[in-house]
Amino acid sequence: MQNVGGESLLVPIGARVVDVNGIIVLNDTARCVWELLAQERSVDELASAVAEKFDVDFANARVDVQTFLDEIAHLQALQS
Amino acid sequence: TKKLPYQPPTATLVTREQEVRG
Repeated sequence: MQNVGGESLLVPIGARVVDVNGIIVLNDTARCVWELLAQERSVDELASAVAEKFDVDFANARVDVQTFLDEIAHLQALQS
Repeated sequence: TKKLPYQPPTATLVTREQEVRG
């Protein structure tokens, strides 16, 4: 992940350049989740961390985190 | 001793064509 001008960007490198047609821009919450994904985490762990840091309850955070993980998996930025 | 305002996490793909775009 690169931080450019206050934006958090995922820039594909190597063979991934062929798979991902461009760069991926993350918002603040997504950046928080992405940083946690440096280690293998469960959805519950991620949602709990988000609910602790941001003004959201665990249940809503969990739904949103799952949606986000599906999104970045679809963009081929995540291995499950 | 306050949480950050919440926005659902989002990932937006900016394609090469969009990147390229006097």
